[in-house]
Amino acid sequence: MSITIRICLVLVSILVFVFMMRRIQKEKLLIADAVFWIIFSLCLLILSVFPQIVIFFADLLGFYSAANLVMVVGIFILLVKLFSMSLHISHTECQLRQTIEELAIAEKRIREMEGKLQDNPEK
Amino acid sequence: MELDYSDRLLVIIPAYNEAESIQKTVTELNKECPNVDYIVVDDGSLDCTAAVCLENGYPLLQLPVNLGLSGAFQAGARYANRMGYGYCMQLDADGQHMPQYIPDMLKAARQGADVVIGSRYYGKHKEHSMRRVGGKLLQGAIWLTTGKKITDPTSGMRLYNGKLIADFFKFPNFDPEPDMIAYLIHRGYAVQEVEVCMRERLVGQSYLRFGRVIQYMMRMMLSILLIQWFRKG
Repeated sequence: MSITIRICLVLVSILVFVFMMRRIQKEKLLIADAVFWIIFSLCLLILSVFPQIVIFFADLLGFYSAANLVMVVGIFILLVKLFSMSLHISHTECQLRQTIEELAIAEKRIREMEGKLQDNPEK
Repeated sequence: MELDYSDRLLVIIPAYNEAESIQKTVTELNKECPNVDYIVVDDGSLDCTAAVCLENGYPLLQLPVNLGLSGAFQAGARYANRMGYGYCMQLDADGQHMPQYIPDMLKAARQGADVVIGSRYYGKHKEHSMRRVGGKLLQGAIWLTTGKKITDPTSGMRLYNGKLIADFFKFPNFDPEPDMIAYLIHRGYAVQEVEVCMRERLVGQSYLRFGRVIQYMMRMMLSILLIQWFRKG
């Protein structure tokens, strides 16, 4: 792997890490959701500091260059993450709908009960 | 008449599919601690947990969707804050936690502890199970980063001072989990352990299913060892 790519990977990994930590500090990101990105950035850092690991597997699998292997594996991991996030968003969307619907029904019941109380206040 | 709850404890009982054991748990709580307030939080159960509670007249918060343990506890904490309770604690609906230890825990909190953990291992040296291995790892991580020995970081039986109740719903990363203990020690809160006994689960399914334990452990270790350093103190 060329030194340029290695420096790029180090920079990307530090940027990802700093960005995630700042989001956590501002309470905008759940720690559970940040775990993936932190492990991702740690892996990038390790691979750019010790490119021998990538070179070994690139030779083993017959890749033209080590950088290609990093790209292919990186794209694959991000695709899987994207897919699981789509599932997660769908699930959250369903829960949100359900909650709002329940809230509307509960609100209607309260309104009707308040109306009844006003009609016969002695009870 | 406005009631003053500022010195009172609210026991939060999160329940997910606990129809079989909830009655036993609440009956025991009423018998052991008749003067303590409690609320059952039905976490979108698929069985008749909520129906059992309504039938018996238990105070109940019914969540329309399943939020998980943290979400269910958060709902209870929000309620405790709204009512102005001075202390709140978690009591599992499955009968693991024994209410007879609640007075000891409340006493420790009244004497100044911000968090009181009901510990199975405080002052004891026994039991070697898989759960204990996980607990030991977390204990080591907390000791390494804070210098404080917490013998039972995975215990769900924790009592919180009123100062902390609002934080549960103000801050999304303030979950009743082991990494929060590390966070609170960092911020200078007094965390204290009280010796308790716990039962084996009677019926029902644990929140922590075995497949998720590895993922859970990884998250907790990463959070305690790395992320906590970067959180605001």
